[in-house]
Amino acid sequence: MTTPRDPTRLLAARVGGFMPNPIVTAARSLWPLVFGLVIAFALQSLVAPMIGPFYAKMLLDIGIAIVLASSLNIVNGFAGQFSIGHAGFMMVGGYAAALVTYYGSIKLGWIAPDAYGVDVHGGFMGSGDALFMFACVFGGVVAALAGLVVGLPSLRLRGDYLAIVTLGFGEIVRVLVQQSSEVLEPKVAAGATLLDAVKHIGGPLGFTGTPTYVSATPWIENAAGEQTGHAGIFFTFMFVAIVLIAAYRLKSSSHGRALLAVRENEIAAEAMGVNTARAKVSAFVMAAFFAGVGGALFAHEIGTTLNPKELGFQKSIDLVIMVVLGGMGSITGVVLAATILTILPELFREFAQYRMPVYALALIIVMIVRPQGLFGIKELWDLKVWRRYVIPVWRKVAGGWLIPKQEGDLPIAMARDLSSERAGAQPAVAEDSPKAEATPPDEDKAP
Amino acid sequence: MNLSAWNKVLVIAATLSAAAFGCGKKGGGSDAILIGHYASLTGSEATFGVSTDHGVILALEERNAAGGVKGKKIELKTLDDASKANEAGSVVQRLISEDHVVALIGEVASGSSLSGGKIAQQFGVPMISPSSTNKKVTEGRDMVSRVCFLDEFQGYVVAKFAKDQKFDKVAILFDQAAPYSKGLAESFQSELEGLGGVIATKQAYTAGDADVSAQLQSIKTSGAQAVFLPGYYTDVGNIVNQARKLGVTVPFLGGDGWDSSKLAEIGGEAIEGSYYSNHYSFEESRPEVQEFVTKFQKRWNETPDGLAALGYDAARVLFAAMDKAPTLSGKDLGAAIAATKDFPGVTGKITLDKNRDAVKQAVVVQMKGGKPHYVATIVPKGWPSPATPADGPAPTGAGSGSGSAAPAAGSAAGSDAGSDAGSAAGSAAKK
Amino acid sequence: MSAKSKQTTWIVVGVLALAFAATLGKTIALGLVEGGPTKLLQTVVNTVALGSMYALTALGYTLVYGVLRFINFAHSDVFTFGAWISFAIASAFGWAVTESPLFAMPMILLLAMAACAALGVTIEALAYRPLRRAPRLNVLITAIGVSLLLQNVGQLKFVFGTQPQHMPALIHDSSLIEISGVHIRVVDVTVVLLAAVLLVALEALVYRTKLGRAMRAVSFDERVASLMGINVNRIVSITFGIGSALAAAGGLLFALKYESIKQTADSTWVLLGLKAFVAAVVGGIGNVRGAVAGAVLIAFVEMFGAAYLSPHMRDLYVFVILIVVLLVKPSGLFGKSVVEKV
Repeated sequence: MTTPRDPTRLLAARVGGFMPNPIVTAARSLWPLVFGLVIAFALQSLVAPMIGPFYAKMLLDIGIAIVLASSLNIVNGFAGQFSIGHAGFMMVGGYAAALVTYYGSIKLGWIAPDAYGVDVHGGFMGSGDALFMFACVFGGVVAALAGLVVGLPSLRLRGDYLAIVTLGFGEIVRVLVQQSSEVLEPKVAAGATLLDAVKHIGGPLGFTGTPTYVSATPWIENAAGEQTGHAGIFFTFMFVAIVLIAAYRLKSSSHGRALLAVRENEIAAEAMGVNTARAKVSAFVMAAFFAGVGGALFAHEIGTTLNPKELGFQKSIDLVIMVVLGGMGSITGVVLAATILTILPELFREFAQYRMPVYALALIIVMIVRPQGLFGIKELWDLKVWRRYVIPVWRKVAGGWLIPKQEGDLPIAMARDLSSERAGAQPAVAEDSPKAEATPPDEDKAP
Repeated sequence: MNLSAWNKVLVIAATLSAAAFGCGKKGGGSDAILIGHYASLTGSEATFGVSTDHGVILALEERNAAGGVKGKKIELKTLDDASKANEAGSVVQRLISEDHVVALIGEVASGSSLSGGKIAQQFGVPMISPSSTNKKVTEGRDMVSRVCFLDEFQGYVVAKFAKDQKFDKVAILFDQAAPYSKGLAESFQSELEGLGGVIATKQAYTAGDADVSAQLQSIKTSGAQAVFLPGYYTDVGNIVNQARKLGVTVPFLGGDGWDSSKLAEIGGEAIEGSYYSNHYSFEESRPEVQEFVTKFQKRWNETPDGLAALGYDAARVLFAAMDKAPTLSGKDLGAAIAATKDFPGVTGKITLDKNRDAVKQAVVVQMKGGKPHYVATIVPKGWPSPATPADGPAPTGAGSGSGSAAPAAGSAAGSDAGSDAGSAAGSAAKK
Repeated sequence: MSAKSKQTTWIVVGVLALAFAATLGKTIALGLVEGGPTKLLQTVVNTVALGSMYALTALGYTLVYGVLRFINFAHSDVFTFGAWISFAIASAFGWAVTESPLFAMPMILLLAMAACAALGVTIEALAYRPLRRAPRLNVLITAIGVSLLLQNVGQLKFVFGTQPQHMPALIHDSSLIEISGVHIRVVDVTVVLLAAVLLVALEALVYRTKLGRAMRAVSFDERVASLMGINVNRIVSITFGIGSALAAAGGLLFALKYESIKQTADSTWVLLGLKAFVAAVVGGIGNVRGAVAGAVLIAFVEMFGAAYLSPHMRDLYVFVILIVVLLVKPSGLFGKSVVEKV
């Protein structure tokens, strides 16, 4: 090379060469989502028929538990703001979504005149599914607004006191929902105003008659020749993919680092220039949004009732247990814990009256044996087990496909690729230097 | 952190879980008929779930001793839903698609029955709810039926009784967190107002509130002639006690949730003179009742409450339908259950109407001397009055001769004398 | 948040609060006129009785929090067990059917307190001590696990069963004084007196004895306390024992006052525990006097709210008061605000 080393030109060349095609960038950053959708679709169409309706329903429960627990992980695990009123957000989102699908379906004229409830409308990805998806997002947005309100006290309160305020919030939502009247029958609801609809959300019995978009068994027909279900597993795991990707990207973004800093030491974080108030409130808003989405899925799941009694304090605690058991801030740990804690009560069901004592004992023992949770603050791929056994096997099977060249852990490296793509869009060259690849990611340093 | 130890734990957990699920599948031999019962064996509603389960087991053992159904033994699988409507859904799914039950019994709480019923309906497995009183439970679900009253009917019964007793101004105190209580309160209010009565005040409590003196104080100042307290006996005793201490002297009125031998025990003197509507009265001399009470005491060493009786009846209605159905397929069995007519249950003659809801007449009993005493029979609207028992569905035994829906104060007083001899009570009303 | 926007927020909040207070005041004033002095007096009596019940439970929460800085969610279950153990002793002596002798009440009180103290110490040793160095959230989850365990073990047939039981009347609950139709009853007076006695004893214990000094030292700094020769494990054990014994006393009084006790997993106990805990927090958790003040405030809000506003929103008032108090004074009414240092 004889060209004189002109830093400016070099930089310009590199930036120019890196100027991304927006479509390519979008496609690249979307691939995890596409991948997630493919998995969701495979779960629905291949796995579910293989495992049968009961396990398929369990898969739905697991999916929803993952969405809810991961959302709580954002505020509890990442930002360290201890919230024990998370079921309140779930309830807000669930009721908002149920309002949309139930009264919306009626207003759109999707029901038979003598119907007692609302049925799933249209086939897979039909207009009914569109309404359902809108309802999920709407539920999330309403819950996020509630999250904003609840997040504000976090500016003034810390630790246990904040937890107690969130608990108070959950209980207040519960009492208010209890005051409502029974859901209007379709005939009456057709002429109801919005205010009427909001007043009639079921009271203590719960929101009855919602269409069950989240049910698992479209491949089974009952005696009357009707499909017994809808592609609920697909929708659930679509949202699972979204929440996990969002949580992952949040964790590795500068914003997520700010949250982690707040968790570790608020004063130090503030000293380092982190806007702690903003970080905390935004954690609440994000967590509430996904809790609302989880609530919306739950509201439309088969074999559930959206009722204020069961979405109270106990449900919040169940979610906290998932986060603590999984490891505060560990995305994969929380996924695993949500899965285990959904399966475990089902396993013990045969024990009848001894079931809950056994479950409680198991909980205590796990907490004592493993106080840091299953994964601690690490992710699955940071564990030695993974590095020692999974990667070499994978290398043998797939010949190094998806494994970065450097000895390192697989998904973090991939994520770095992604973040560098994003960095490329608003040129920040340093990130792209090969040296960055060699430095181990921060998670490695975790105890 | 010892990773290899951790791995072992994981492996053991996985093995255990595989074993546990494997065991689940084995249940139910091929030559037995398996029915499922989902109930609240643990959690806040366990009192009711365990009672119901005792009733169901008793019916089952009795039936198996008599040779089972269609020459086969019946097997029962009871699974706990921890008093949660959302677990009820999973339990029902499990009973249907893993254990392949031919029919289901459950639940007490309407919310749980709604969750479970939805799945039972979609998979075409007949389900009988022993005691879910909300009308939505069976609406539009032809596989789901029940053997208990609806809130609407019972509200009417108590309202009519109150009006007949000249209680024109009645206060309501209901549990706002319980759909059962709220439903009854609402139907009572509309029925009483329809009959020309007045609601003096409507107060609410939450099942967890041990102390309801503030509400009772408001009732006291409202000048009500009676207090309608729809709730379960677990709360009633405590609330009535408090009321008496605060100087609320008017009688209390209640629904079938009051029915238990514990009521008199907990309520003590405070509950004396209060009325409640019920399916039957366990002092009735009808053979079904006496036989049931004796058998139940022998088997479980406790007096059955209303929920045990309803569980017992639900199971027996199911067995009777199994006898009648040509096959045990969901469709045939469901149709056979829906066609139940004049079934001689412990809780009265059970006939299922077109919504598969039990149509029964109700009796009103009064607590006297620590025992409920028959006071009046009230029939559903549109039925001929019990004065003419020859036509129309036969009323429950004890009520048949009383002559009128209007309660006879005399009959209550008359039965008071016979209260010492348990089975002889209610003599004034007996034919 | 800039100073200006903060100011605006406070003005908005203030105006809203004033409007709310005005409406509230009007409703209450109307209610007072309508209900007359009898209702007012009765409500005051109810408040004091319920407040004492909450205070006894709140003390347990506050004691444990003061020493270990964690919310002992299993405390309300110890309370429940206190009630059930009292019942079991009373029925074992056959006092359910026969008249109970005079010594029955103090005897059962002592036995139940001892049994629950043992239970509390055992729970601490088995479930909480191994987690002394773990993050507080873990201890919290363990506490929830213990709570679940106690609730569900209590439900088993050979323990207490699922049926509610009638508590034998150990003291004759007659009316002591009657003022314009309002009865002040023996049990209510007993509850208030016992709560007061236990509170004073506790105050004396914490502030006047060597043991109390050790407890405060552990609360202040566990490690330094152990350097000073205090056996931290022993102190924590004792604290749990005392808290649990107080809960047992509360449980017995509860059973005597309401004459019936429900199965151990019933929502009554959960809600009672939750409200007592809220009382402890409102008063400033970790502070003995604060717990009592908080208990009375919560009982006041509940009783007056239910009597003069609307009984439907009773629980709502409790939690609204909680949030308002914490927002105005983040460490509770009597709590010390701790300045965080780097």
